Amino acid sequence: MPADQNSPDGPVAMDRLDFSADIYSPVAVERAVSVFGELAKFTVTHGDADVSVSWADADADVADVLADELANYALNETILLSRAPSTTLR
Amino acid sequence: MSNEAAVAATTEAPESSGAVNAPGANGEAAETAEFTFELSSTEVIFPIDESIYPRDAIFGAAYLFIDRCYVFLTRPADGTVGVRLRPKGERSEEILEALAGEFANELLNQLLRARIAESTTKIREFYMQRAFFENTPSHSTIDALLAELDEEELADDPLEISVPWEEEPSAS
Repeated sequence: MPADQNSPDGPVAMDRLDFSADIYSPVAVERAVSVFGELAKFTVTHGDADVSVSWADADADVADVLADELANYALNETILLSRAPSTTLR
Repeated sequence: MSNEAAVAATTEAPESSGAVNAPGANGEAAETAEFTFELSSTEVIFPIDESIYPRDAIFGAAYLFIDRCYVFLTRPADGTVGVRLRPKGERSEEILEALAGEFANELLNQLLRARIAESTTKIREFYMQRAFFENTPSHSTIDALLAELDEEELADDPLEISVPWEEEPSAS
């Protein structure tokens, strides 16, 4: 879910999405971040239970839908990967 | 705003809750199965029991909603997948409720498709095997024609019919 965080240098608006690693493919999340990479400054953190994606400085034109579109893209990729042959990297 | 609706079967829920009574096979109490969802002004959230609907069914249903909704899946508890649907277009309580219902229907559809696919695996494999690897009548006919052509090419040509017109048979 999106969340705001403050940096030590001052309040910086950051958003975050936590993708359940049990549901979303980490490869799919990375691909989503790669595709949306020009629209914000992303940071991906791989945890045991979640893959967290944080971002700041989002493009103002897409800032309100960035989280939703990123999540949709990651889910779409996850589903496609789950249907791919077993030799595909997931 | 929060709303909760019981759509599927339960035996002891009061009628005013919108529950449907479903007695067991011998008239005893059946297992309680409810489809509940939470509504807000922009989204609807509901849990799905993975022991009833496997992951492939959830993915299959979610895939069909991606073009008109923002879909986000969570893991609220072991064996449960949380689904959040946020319509891309118009959002109202009626639309959100309808989306939740459609998703539940699609889950059933996906589950049924998976079970049919599973139960017909053998017969589909059998048909494919016959189509590609066995001598069906059409293959036999083609093979026979090819064999006939091969034999003709190798056969003697006493009348030298196969010699081109331009060449003189006596010259060779």
